[in-house]
Amino acid sequence: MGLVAGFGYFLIALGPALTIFGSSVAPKPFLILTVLASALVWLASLNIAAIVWRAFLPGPSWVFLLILTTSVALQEAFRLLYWHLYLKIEKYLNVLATKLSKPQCNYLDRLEIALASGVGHGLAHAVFFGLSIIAPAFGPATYYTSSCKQMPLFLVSALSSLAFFLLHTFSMVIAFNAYTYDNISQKLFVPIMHLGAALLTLVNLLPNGCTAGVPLVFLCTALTMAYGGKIVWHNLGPHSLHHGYLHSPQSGSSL
Amino acid sequence: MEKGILDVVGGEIVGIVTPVSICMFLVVTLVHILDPRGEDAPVSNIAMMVYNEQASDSFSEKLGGALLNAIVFVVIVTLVTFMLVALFYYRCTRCLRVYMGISAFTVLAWMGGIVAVQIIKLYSIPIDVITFLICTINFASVGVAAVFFCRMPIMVTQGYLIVIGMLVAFWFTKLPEWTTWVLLLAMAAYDVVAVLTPRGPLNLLVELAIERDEDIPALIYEARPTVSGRMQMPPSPAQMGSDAERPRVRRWNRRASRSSNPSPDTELGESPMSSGNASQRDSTLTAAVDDSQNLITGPPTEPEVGIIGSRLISSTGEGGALHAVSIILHENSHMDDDTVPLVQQQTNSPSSPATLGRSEAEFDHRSRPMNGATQHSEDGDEETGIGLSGAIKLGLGDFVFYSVLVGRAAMYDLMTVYACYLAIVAGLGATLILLAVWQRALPALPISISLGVIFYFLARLVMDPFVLDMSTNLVFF
Repeated sequence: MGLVAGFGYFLIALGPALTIFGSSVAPKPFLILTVLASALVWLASLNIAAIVWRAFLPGPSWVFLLILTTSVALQEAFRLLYWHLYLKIEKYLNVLATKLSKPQCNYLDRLEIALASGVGHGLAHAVFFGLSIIAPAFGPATYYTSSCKQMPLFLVSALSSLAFFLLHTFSMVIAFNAYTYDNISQKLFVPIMHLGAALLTLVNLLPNGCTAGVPLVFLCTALTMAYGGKIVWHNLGPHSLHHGYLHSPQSGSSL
Repeated sequence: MEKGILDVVGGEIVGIVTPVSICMFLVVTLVHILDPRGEDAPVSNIAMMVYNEQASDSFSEKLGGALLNAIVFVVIVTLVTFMLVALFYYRCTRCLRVYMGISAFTVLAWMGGIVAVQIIKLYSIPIDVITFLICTINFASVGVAAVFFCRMPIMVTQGYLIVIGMLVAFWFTKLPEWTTWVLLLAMAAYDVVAVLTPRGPLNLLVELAIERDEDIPALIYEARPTVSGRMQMPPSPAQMGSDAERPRVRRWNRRASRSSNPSPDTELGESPMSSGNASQRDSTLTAAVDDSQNLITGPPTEPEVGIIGSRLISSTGEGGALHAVSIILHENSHMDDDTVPLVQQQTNSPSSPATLGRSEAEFDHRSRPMNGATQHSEDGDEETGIGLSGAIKLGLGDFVFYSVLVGRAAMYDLMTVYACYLAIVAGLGATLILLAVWQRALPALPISISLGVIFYFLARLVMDPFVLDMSTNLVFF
């Protein structure tokens, strides 16, 4: 039973991540490296947040409010750093592409890198906040916290990991697009959604709050995904999903 | 659909990161299944000759004892490596091979057998002694043959190398905690000295191998198969390898010749070659004609290096990302398309270099290097197929120590494992990039191990309690 439950939680938390990784990232070596690099960046931001706030935990619940706000701000700052780092690397990639007589990075390549970077952030989140909590679920027992009697801790963790994985993944796509086109509303959308989702998890602290907190976080995720999808659809246009168009000069020149 | 730049760059790095990840994953799994808390009595071992750590010892006793253990261990490793260099210098290749073969057999049969028995006990798998012995001995014999003596599909050889690395690393995780950490740091420091100083044993070994156009005798994981197909190599003075060794020999030739004439950028016909190489080059051309895979070309640009021990060997290159880097840096030429997707080809390619290296003795320690191999670009060099021939090489010792670190981390918590894994891979990536930049053999341990140790303690002392507190309260960000 433990094994079945463990795999269930594991697949809820990481199933979509593994699917995206296997279908879109794994075939291209550079994207795999992107995932690793972006996971490392996320881990670095987590480390800094942990160093600062470690001393204040465990504490009263208002501490969480401070932690969440500062950590989200820190991660968004790291996202900006990451973007600048990416621009540098893209220059090298383009030089290299010229040498190899390959086309330069076009919009679609950039989207793929954004997706891979998002997967890196999301996977790191899912691994640190989800997987390490879920691991004991493979054992014989389950675990409830006093504030959430409806669902085991493992299920809440798995669902939240899934929500945050998707949020991080598509936030990165939106962010790359926003930076590319210097679009203010998109630039604001990403941190606001991230902060919103983080603050909504505070609902989980209330008695029986998890019945409301988890769906609310998923609402943020759904909004992010829908917005990301809309942006990409708008930029590529419906007909561009046919193959030949993908590497066409038009999409490249839109940069 | 046409392949874009993203398909092409980074292949070599992924080719090296994947086996390292597999090895670490296996070690972590073994540790989890067999020894989740590190409670097994430490197996007495050469690394704890001086001091046997007790949980009750004081902080300073543990630290001092661990330091002593590490020093003794490093001294022994150094002596053995010098012995190896001496044997290699006096051309006792047979002796070396036999020694390496026996140690590999011991690891596979004895250590592998013990691990298998533990698993069998744990899961109560019904099996009789005779079947078990036959399986174990066959497994080990095939392994030794695959690694040292005959050509087998590259997957088999690589698989066995990973298994050897895994078993040795699992053994090392049984060291007491403090000794493990100090030992890892000491090995990283040793690695720097041995590879980078002119008189360092590993550096000597590499130089000797380059000078003689021979393989480095060591256990080395090679990301890509060497191509065996070309026999048309021009005879070089040094070449005395057996058939099996030929491809490699060639490679070394190339390296040697490259180093001898450093002029980059010449194109095929026009490149100035040193007189010594001229004949070689002609033959190469011919060879190239029949071998579509090869590019031949001009003069070698940079010397490649191979290595042993735990170092990376460098490469030159042109080829994937690494090359890319080096290309950008050195601006020499442009690459051929074929060069690039090497990695994908590797699985299919039938030939493997049977001989990876044989080397140092115990796997335990020594390191083995990585070598970046070469690839060629158009202006690359002779014969080896493009892309196929040169491979990045990583000493099995590096596999072992990376896995030891991760395995030790697994005894605390999974979170520390992930943190260490990311740190080690980042260090490995940084080392590979330096390899492309500096074009010489590099030690693979220092960056990765120091990052790994830093992240372990950060994760254990700071991040783990923080994240646990957050997530048990169901608060995330």
